[in-house]
Amino acid sequence: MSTAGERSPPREEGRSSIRARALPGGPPAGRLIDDILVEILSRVPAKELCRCKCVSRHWFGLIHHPDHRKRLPQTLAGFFYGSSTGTTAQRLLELPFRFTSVSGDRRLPFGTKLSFLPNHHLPVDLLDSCNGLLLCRCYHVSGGVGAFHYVVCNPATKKWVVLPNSCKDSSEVATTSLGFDPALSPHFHVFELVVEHNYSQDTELSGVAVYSSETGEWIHKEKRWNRATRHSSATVFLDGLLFFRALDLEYHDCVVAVDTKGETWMKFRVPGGQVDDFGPADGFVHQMLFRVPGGQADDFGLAHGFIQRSQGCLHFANFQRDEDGVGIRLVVYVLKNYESEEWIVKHSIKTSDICGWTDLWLDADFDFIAIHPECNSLFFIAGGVTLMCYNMDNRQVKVISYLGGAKPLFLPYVPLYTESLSLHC
Amino acid sequence: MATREAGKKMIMLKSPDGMEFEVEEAVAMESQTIRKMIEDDCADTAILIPNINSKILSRVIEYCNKHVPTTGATGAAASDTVAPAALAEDLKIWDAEFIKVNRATRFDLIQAASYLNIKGLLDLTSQTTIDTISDNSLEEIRSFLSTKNDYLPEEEQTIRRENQWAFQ
Repeated sequence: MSTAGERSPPREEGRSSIRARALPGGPPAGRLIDDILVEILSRVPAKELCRCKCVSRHWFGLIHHPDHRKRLPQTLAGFFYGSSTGTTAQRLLELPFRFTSVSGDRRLPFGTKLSFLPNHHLPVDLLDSCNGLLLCRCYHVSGGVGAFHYVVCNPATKKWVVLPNSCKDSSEVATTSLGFDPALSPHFHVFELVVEHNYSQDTELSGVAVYSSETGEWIHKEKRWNRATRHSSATVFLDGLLFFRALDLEYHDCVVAVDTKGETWMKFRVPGGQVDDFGPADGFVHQMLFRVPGGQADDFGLAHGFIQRSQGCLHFANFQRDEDGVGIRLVVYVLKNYESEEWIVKHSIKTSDICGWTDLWLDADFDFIAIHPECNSLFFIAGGVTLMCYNMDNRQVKVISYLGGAKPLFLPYVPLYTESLSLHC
Repeated sequence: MATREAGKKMIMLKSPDGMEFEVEEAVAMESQTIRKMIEDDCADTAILIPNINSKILSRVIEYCNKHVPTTGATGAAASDTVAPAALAEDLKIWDAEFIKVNRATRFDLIQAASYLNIKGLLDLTSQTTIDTISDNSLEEIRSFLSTKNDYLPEEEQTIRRENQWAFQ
């Protein structure tokens, strides 16, 4: 965590003085006692709470105190990353994961090895991260080579739960995602996007399997789509829906949403498809046109952007050819109303107008990583090694840290200090 | 509003400065702290409320009197002669008047609401402070809450850098 955190360890003396000051006579005039201050801070949004850390050391100590932080809103601490494995179809992080905070601090908020997990001496893969919980694959010996269980854990409380098998072979699963929103429910869901037959790049998506920690069971629902993205960080859990990218049966590039029962499906055409003469129809033609490199074809490419949850809404960001046909434009959309299916342009800027930007980044390994959950900052990786942040408000790019290794997968991490009912020791 | 019938159970609340307030049990039970004492049979004829002086306690009782659900003697639901929306609007106007107090009184009310566990009053009294924290500069927050900046300059720089995003 932060360096100041080490200097300001949890201050027990602060709490005992609360009691002292709560005696008859009360606190000094015009001041609030600490317990009440924490009560008020628990009602302040996460962004303002981060500002409050700068008010005084005393406030910082209060906000970071283990007794208080479980009551206070938490926000994006940083990203897990590592080298993606090339041996399996899914995108995942293998041990040991690395971590970088949003300010570039590389110290992990907890042990790298998830050593509190069962069988942690066997390989563990990290598949997804959602609002404080992590979805892992834990391998075990008894089931034969490659046999694994899904495990959902909270590294902040060291609690975990092993999921029953979904009865799907891993070759039938394009992406496994975690859906958890403590504001909606104490229960989590795990979604498997299921493909048909043997796994290959053009395999159609045939449906979804959803595990509910409430029922302890998997359900399977069929629904056909032409290909789904295999970029696991490209799924978003919002409003009780899992959003992911797919091509529909007419090969339109879409954002698809499915609920936790696998019953309600929604489809939103991705925005920004009108900038070339080919129209929005074929995403892959679109990608070729832009000649913006975007990793493997199964990631749908950079021009096709990515989806993210920020400030309570679904966001979509991509690069588009500018009207003059020469420049490139970064456009960020927001989907506020699912009924109207209307994407509203939130931010649109010529990359040449971004302070500190170079289009050369787009020629090398470039990847969108995240949009900050509380503010208008977009994180991306340039050249495969440099973690950067673009601030839409002041239109500036800044380097967060230089990370070694090949183009990795990044999973955003928001700590969760409250005990989850759905996890146990 | 349903009439309060005679013969209702009354509770005596005592402030540490020696004042006594006789209130209906239902009104006192707006406070979850007092409710628990009554339900656990810890309450005799009078309950001493420590830390809350008579001036603040009388305001708290005033709030609870206004906000106690209007139920009949049998405990049946509120009569529907008054539209709930109109009632809510009336309460909102009343609350806005009620909270027009100076800062010291407001902080005392926050503390009383927290100690007595009266959620509505806590929401009402802490909103101004939440707004202050959300809308003002660090200096203004420090001044409003009488908090000193005890960071060393380089410490403050580090912590500001780490939380830079929150200032944009």
